[in-house]
Amino acid sequence: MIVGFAGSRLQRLEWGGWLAVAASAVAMVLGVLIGVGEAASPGATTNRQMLWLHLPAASPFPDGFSLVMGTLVDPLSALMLIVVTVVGFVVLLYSIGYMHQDHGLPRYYAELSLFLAAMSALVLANNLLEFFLFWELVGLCSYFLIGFYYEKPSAASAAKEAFLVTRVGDVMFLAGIFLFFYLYAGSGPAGLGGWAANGFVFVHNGTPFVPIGTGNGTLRTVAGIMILGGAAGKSAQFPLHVWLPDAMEGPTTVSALIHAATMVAAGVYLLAITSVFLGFTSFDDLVIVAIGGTTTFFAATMAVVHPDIKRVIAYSTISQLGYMVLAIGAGFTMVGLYHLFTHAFFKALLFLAAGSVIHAVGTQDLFKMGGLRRKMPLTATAFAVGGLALAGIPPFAGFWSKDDILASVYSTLGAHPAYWPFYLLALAAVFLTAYYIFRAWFLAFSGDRARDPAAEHAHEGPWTMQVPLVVLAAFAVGAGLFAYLPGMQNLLEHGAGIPPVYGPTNVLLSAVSVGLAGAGILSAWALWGNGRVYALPATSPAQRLRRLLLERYYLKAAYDWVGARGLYTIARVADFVDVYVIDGTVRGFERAFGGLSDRARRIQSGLVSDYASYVVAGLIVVFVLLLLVAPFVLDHVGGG
Amino acid sequence: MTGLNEVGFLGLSGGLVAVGLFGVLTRRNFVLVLIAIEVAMNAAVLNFVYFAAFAPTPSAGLAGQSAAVVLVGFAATEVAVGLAIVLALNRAKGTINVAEATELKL
Repeated sequence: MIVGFAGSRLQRLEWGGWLAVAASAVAMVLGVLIGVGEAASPGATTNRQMLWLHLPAASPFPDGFSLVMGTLVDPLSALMLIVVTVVGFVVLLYSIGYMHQDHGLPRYYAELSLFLAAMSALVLANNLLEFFLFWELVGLCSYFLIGFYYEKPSAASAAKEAFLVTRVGDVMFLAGIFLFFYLYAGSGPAGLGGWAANGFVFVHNGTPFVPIGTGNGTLRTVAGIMILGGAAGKSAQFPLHVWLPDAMEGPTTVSALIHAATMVAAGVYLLAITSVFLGFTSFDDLVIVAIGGTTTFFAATMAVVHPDIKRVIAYSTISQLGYMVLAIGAGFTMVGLYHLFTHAFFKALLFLAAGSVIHAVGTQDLFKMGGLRRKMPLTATAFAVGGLALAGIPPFAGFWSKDDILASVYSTLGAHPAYWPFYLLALAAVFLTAYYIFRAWFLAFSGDRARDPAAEHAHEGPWTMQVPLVVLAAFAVGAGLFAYLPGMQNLLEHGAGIPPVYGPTNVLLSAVSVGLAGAGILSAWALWGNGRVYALPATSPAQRLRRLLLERYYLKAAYDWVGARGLYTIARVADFVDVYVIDGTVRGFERAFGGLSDRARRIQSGLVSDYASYVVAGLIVVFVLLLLVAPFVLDHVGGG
Repeated sequence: MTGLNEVGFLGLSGGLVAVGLFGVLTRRNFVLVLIAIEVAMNAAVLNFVYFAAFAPTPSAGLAGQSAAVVLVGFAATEVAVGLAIVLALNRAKGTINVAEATELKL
């Protein structure tokens, strides 16, 4: 259904931008309707599918092997669908104003529409293979759109980097899929012939097809880790996070839609559906918590020093995705998805506000901005709202969901003491988050005037850019309160087959995290407020820390080194083998036959008497064979 | 037919073939090559006649002798063809030396 009308969005016309906006508006209406319908009937799952291919029975699959394409609407996908379609519509509308000077617009709208279609289909996929198909498709769109300014070498290389790094995750994801297939090919409800024969669908009659928590423990753990690898690649979790900051080379709208709200959330969504429909082992959960907590903290530290407004927000995205991963690892899938929901809105808001600024001043360098509060009051307000939501100040959206994560994880600490360090890292990240986002705000908007004369002529964008800011700001304020709407409660509490986990926020814990966030904002104000620029003394020992953070803990350099030295050496060895062993063999044959044919050529002298002598020689050979060899063969082999 | 020696006759035939082959392979004059072919061929004719003498029935022996007569006719036609080639070669190359005719190759 969604895929059907999404196809019409791919037309490339002069007014294709508006067409795309209109189509995405239709998609948004449908998406929200689906969401509301789902909220109205708690816990319902709607599964429509068609058989694509059925392979007959073979040895590992006694009842055959099916591939199905279908849509599954359940609370998880309904929640995601609302996010994808609403943010998609808002961002497309914003693009009309933001992108109007760029060339290659048909390409832009076609790719963005394809992305939206693929993302909707990914959310609605009803089996793992279909999920993987659209997973790759959104990855491809991401690659296209990061490299949108393909004339810029940095954009082209960022696109390649994103593609290759996520590829590492995708290979792991595929391995995980195969492991799960291997483990559960024969299981499922009685009388249906097993999972493989039913196309590896997630649910049957509203319950998970495969009974959660059965099968070989070690293999299941490995499969879970592989799925986590795929999610880490897509959601830019440590140690596969390096591509996301570089992905900011794409247009800001793309960063807002793909690299903040939707595609990077697909990894979290993957973890969510895996935990709901297949289940993780406890070791998997610990690894997930570890990766989530670590990512949350380290991404936040990197955001603290960066001078580029978009990259600060990108690091914050990585950090927030870490919170979601942390929540899912701790067993609170819907809490993680709830943060995904609120985060999508306020992060898209931050990106679009940053896009407004970049559009106005023509630079992404925070240290060239300043004083923009007077010239762009709407943008400044929107960014502040987004920042407050991100920092987790009540009653903004981020407060509800982030505090819920912290409280949920805290409630598991008794049973899982191993989660402690990661909980503390996540708590520390609250302070850093508030600090870095308000450092960015103060640098860009406070003060009397811009530090760079070029930024003096800043002004607000056209209405197509302002409306999305207002809409998203409304969501950033209100999305947290959605959880208290009765319908929303239904969505959050009825993840297919899991018990309700959404509970009231612990007041004391909230006070701690709000206090931390407030301290972060205050220290940002102290260092950067009112147009101040805090310059770290050049001799300070903290300079080394700053360099470390700017260089992203040298992880990217290490990857480059591995790529340049390690892989290049392998490539050289392979090249050597190719040239001297494989080609050498071929050339050797060639030379041997060349020499042979040279000899053979000389035989053909054209002299009749030579030919006659060959005939005689041949005759002699025949006689010898007949007289000596043939009797011998007949004696030993038998016959005539 | 007593008094006839198989070894002697076969030796004569073999000798004729050997002389003929030697002539074919070593002579450069085309006419001499033709003569050598005739010599070698006579070995075959001689064999027909000789083995006809050992035939179990007179009619079978007759078949061998008639084959010999036919072969003599063949030899005559063969020489006619061969001499025609000699003439053609002489006309084309101005010589009848077989070493000069080297066009028989790809």
